[in-house]
Amino acid sequence: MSKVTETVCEHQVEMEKAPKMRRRSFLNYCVGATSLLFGGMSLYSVAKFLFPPGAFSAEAAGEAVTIPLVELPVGSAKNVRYKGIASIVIRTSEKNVHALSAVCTHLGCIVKWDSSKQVLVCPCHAAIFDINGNVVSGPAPRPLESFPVQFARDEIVIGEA
Amino acid sequence: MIDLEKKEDEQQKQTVEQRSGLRELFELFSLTGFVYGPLDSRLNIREALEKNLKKPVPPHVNWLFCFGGISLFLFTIQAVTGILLLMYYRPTIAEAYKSVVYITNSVPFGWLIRGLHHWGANLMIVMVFLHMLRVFFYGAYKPPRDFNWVTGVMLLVLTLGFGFTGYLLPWNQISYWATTVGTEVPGAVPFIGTYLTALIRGGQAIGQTTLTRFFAIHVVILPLTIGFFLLGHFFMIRKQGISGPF
Repeated sequence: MSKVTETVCEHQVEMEKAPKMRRRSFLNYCVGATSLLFGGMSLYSVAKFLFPPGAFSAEAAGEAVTIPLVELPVGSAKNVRYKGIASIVIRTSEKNVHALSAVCTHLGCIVKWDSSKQVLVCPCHAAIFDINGNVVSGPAPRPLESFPVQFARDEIVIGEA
Repeated sequence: MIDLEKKEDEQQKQTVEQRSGLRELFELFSLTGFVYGPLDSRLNIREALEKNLKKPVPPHVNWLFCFGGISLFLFTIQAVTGILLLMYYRPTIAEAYKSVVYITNSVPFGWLIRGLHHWGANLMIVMVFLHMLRVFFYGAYKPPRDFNWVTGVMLLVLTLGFGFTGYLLPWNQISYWATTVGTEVPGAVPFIGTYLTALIRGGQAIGQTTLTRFFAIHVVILPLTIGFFLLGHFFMIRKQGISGPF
């Protein structure tokens, strides 16, 4: 008899020492975890929804861009997308073609080809670049990135084909 | 009594001094700021939340009294999914159907968002009807809740308006012909019928003007109007309490 009471007492002492979790707080944790899971899944799908397919793949794809020669007569310029970057291709003479990034290094406007002055002009803050992309004047801190160009029969290939 | 207040004041001063500026800023602009932090001491958000969440519900209330709340829940779903669909939908007759197909097949979880908007619309109309039937059969429309019934009827009409204008937006065969039939109906009104039809369609036949009109009604005019009536509806419920017991 005495043994039994002793064990019961010990058990009670252990119960009081051990950190208790009440039924209510357990249920509260369950509700919290479920709503976190549900909310997280909802937010995940909404976040995925807001990024259209191909939003980032264009930059990654380094595919070569080809332009037929007839579309680019001597003295003209053409805007293309290369590696997802707005680029400009300028044909100055029969066998002379330049491909540059058209994104101004100042604040990201798209530069235009001024054929009379043979320079690239940014419409936003009047930065001027020469045919090789070097800064002539204006606020631009860096030259425009230039891309390799090759002639292939009756077309121009931009990029490492 | 005065001593006690003094002590509390001193304690508060100490806790204020212990706070760092960064923590103060974080609490001011975070949820904890709203509920426990410096914003709460100014706005009493916590008190208001507790008052609203712990408002007792009369014992006669059962599931039949939930249809209005379910309608509101579905309306919120419609608002959220509708705004999300606006990110991709293009309201022109050349692009509308293509953009809907794009949402359904190409956009991640687009099928889910569009499906939620579709099913939410149907369920919301069902729930609004059930809500109205419950109110009618329990006689809960009687004074002093008669203006609640009036705004409720406006909300029903607006909900059906949402359904009717939203139906055209995918610009597929079923929506085109359903709108043709639906806009023929006011044509039966004596004398002004043809003018009414032309007003809704923006011309003789369903075309780009109709789509633009329905889009504008669906995403701007109706949401603003329904928001106004919803606020009135809820304010009156809050003021007058739940009806019954019967």
